[in-house]
Amino acid sequence: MAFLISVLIFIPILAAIPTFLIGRRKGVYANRFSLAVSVVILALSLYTYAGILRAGSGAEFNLVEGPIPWVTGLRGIDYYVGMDGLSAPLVILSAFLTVLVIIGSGRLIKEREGLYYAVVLFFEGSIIGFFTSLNLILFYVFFELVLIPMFFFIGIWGGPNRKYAAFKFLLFTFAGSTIILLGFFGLYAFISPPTFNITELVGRIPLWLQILASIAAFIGFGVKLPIVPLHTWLPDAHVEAPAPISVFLAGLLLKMGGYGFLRINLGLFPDASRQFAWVYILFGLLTMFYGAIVAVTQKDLKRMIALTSINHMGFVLLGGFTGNQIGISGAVFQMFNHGVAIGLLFMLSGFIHEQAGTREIPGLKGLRVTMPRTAILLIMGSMAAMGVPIFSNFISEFMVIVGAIAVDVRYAVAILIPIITVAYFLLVLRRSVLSPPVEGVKHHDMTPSTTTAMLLYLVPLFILLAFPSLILDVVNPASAVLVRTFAGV
Amino acid sequence: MVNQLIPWLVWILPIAGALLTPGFARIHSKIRDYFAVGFSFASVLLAGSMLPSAFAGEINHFQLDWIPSLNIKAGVLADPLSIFMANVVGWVSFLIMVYSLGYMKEESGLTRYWFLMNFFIGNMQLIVLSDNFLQLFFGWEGVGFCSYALIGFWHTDELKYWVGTPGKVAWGVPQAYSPTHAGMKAFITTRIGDIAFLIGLLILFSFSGTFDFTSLATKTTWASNLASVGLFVPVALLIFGGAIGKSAQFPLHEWLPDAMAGPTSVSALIHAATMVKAGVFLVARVGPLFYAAAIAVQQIVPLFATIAWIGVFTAFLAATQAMVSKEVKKVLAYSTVSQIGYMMLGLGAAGLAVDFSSGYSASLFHLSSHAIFKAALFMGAGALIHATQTKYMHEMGGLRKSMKITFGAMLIAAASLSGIPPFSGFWSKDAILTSTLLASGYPLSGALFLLAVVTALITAFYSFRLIGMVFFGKKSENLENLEREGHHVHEAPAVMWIPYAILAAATIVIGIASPLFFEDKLRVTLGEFLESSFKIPFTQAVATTPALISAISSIIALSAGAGLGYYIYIARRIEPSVILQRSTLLTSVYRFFENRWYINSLYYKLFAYVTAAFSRILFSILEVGVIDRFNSVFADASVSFATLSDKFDLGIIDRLINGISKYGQKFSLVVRRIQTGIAQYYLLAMGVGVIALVVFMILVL
Repeated sequence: MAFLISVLIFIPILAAIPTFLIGRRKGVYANRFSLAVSVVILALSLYTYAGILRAGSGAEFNLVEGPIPWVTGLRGIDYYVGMDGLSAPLVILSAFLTVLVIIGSGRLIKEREGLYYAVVLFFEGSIIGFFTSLNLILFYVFFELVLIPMFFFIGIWGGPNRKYAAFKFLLFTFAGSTIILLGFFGLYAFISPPTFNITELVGRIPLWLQILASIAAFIGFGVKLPIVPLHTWLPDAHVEAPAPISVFLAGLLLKMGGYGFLRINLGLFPDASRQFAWVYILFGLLTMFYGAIVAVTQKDLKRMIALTSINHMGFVLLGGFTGNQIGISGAVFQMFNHGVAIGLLFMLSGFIHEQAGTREIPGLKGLRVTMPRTAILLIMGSMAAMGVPIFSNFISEFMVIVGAIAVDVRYAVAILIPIITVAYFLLVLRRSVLSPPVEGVKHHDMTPSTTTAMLLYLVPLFILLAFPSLILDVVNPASAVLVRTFAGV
Repeated sequence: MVNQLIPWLVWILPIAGALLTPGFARIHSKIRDYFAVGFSFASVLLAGSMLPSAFAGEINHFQLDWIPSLNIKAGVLADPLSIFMANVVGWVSFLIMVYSLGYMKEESGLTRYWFLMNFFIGNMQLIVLSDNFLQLFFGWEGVGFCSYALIGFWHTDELKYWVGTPGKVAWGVPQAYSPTHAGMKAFITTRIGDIAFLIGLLILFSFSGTFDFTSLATKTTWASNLASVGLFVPVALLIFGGAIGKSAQFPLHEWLPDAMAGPTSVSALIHAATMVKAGVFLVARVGPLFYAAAIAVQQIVPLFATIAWIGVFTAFLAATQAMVSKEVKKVLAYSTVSQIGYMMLGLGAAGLAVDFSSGYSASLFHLSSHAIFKAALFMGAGALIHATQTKYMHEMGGLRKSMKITFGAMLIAAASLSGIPPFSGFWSKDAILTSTLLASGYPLSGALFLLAVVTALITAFYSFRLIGMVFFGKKSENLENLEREGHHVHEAPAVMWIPYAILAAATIVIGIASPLFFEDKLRVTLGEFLESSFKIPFTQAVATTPALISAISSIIALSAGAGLGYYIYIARRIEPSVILQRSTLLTSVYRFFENRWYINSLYYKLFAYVTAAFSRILFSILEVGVIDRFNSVFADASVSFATLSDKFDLGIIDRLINGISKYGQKFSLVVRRIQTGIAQYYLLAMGVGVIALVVFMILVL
């Protein structure tokens, strides 16, 4: 199948229209239809992934389409997509989370369902497009396309303060992406022959241009990742977004920042990245510590989870800019694991909110008694987020830290993060799950089928704990390439 | 040779049992209980079947690929050390599981209980049998989690489950904790050690490229590489930090006394016999590795002296607190901390002595004998608590007639704890005292020995205090009240007393076998194992003079401590409160010990309160006050910028908005619905972008 990647991108986008139309008849049909589409996409992406895994071809771009000239008359603006070891895990992550988001939305989204599921599919297509673009303009277009569904998600299906959150989200990310675009234009202007194709740009950018462009990319991707202090949009967006959309936000949208850092900053601007690696690493450490410490005293469960993900994404920045293979592979692995684990936590916060009517941690009591299944899942999800070694999150965090230690032993301070993480997760569990229930309060627990759906989140984390090579065999060749460019060989 | 499957199954079987528990619970609660015990029994039978291989000195090492790209393998290592340990862990666990059948009978939440107990045993055996650091760390975290969950087993936090005396405050910090609080405290405190451990082993990995114990032993260039950047001792001490946390050694010892909030069977299994020994086991596992490497880089003294001093200081510190505890379980908890201190002392002294093996085997000998008598004491204490419905010793008293078997078993175990010959505790403690004398190359070895002897005195005193307060004297008011209500104190059921009677008997058997052959056999087996695996020279000969000195001093200390304990608490010649009233100095010392040397309060003030305050300040001042405000300024600026451009180029943008709103009624409806002008700003900014794009194209092309 030669056009497999285009299929992965455009089938969901096109399927958005029928989804919307079906949804006008009855909301649940839109859910079923979009679920079918997303399952097909998941199957196709797994098939693609398996192909790369079997061939061991994570180092090069697979299933390349293009470059097909897009804007005629302007050289180097092409339709050009492909998948390598950096993007492949994120593509299956996108497809996987979309399926789970659609399943999870069934109970939580009750209005304008047709539009909702249409936008979900549109989002899926755009984000897969983003991860597979090999042309900077295409990359930018998908980067922007992802914002639009997210803006509507928060603005339409969000909480009471959604206007402020949507506004803040849009302003931040849009400002970031505009700055990135400026950087890209700079590249186009000063390289001859001018091009936006990533494969052509590698190794041809002079140092001064690398430095300028990487500052632009740092700010742009830094808003997405997010780096402290560019993160304030994130807690607000999460608090207002409906739970399934928080899964997208934390599970996928943040990964765009991480992927951008690896693909663009590390891959295209290796010399600048090498010179300023310490800046990236320090920001990574700052982000990790700040996110963790601020999370400790949060009262809102969802806000706390959001801040956790800031802390976890710091690992990606730290791992990527160690410039060694174990660190970079660890960063990609961390993105995958974090996406899955945080997805579960956000869904659970949504269910708890729906049942208990509040997300304020002091207001949640005795969940273990009132909603035992939810409580057990919450404990499992927390353990994954804490880095307790019964899920693959532990392996990826440990890889990043090993990579950092190899650069400088002092970066071992990063291991202090898990202490803080454990402290606040245990505090939350103790207050909300283990505490005695309030007399007379009754909640409906998850149905067994929903529980099963939620358990799906944990499946990859279990499998990857036992067989981390399923991801690493794809990622390692790609990170080896990055290590070589980073070393300037 | 051992069959390849056996060591794997030893740790997988209990975990499988744990995972099956909810399934069995659906069939019948009895089936669930018996299967849970059955799985732990199957595991220990397999562990037992490896014993001949251990005495033959065989090393069985089996590996599987795990993370091939990092060259990390999963594996099991069944050598004399791990087989010995697996059997200690396995048999004690199995007996405690049997005991649980009786002890936990009337509790609810038993599915959770059996799940966690078996999961714990599996993870503990994983620690013991791992052939590499990473896998060991998995088990390490697993047992930590089970410990956390089981301490907080009574998660409803009713006041009767609290540990400590409610209302008591030391230095502004409350001294009584709910089960869930105690569980969290345990998890976080040990986690600090775990993190140090993790840092250490990751640094070790980045210098050696392997987690594998055998590879680390064979190629030792990592040691000189570490030493050349001055990291050898720090890394070793970081790894030792994990042991300190798990084994509740100073300065991470404060969690264990409060861990007594859990069910007594849990305290016996996790907080006396097995998990807290994981730290000692870790040192025993990697100690020889670091010893061999430390010789090469000449770093022995700083490393092993630290271990020895932490051990002996903890032994003393905890023993003083055991003297003044009111709760029976807390006495035993402090005593556990103290005895583990002895084991650490033995391992530290081993490194300082010429002959590594004698301190090494002494420490492991004490580990096993302590596991046996302390598990017996805890299970006995559980029976007492059930029978008397109180955890305070002064609310018991005079029980020797109504609970004869428990009295007998606890008396034997306490005699072993105090180090009365010929019980096992005498020989094993004596071996440790001897090993400190053997560390003659170390100038302060005399001080180590002296402190250890003083601790032995205190140990004998508090053991007799416990026996005296519980079993001798008059019945307390509490018991009389109970009898008036019709609850007569009676012996525990057989399913409970048989396990601890067996352990008490084992104390005697080992005690008799020790001087005959057991102690020497253990020393020779381990010594030869050290020689073959780590090239640490092993001398068969035993030094008699130090052994004699230590035996004499230990008997003197024992007589003094036990005599005092007998005089006050068994013969009841003098009322302890009277002694305290007479001397203000004694009273303040008493208060100092009772308030845990104020270390607990200090930690709360320093860490718990400060961290929370720090987070709050960071959030309110930095996040809300500075960063958010800065961002708002930034946002406002971009809005005004957009407004400016709006005035500057109204025509194009208007056309753009009109153009886009034509694209669909739906979308513009949405835009209107949000109607804060955000969408307009968005489009404005997009317009600015388009203009910039056009300008750029014109300039460039």
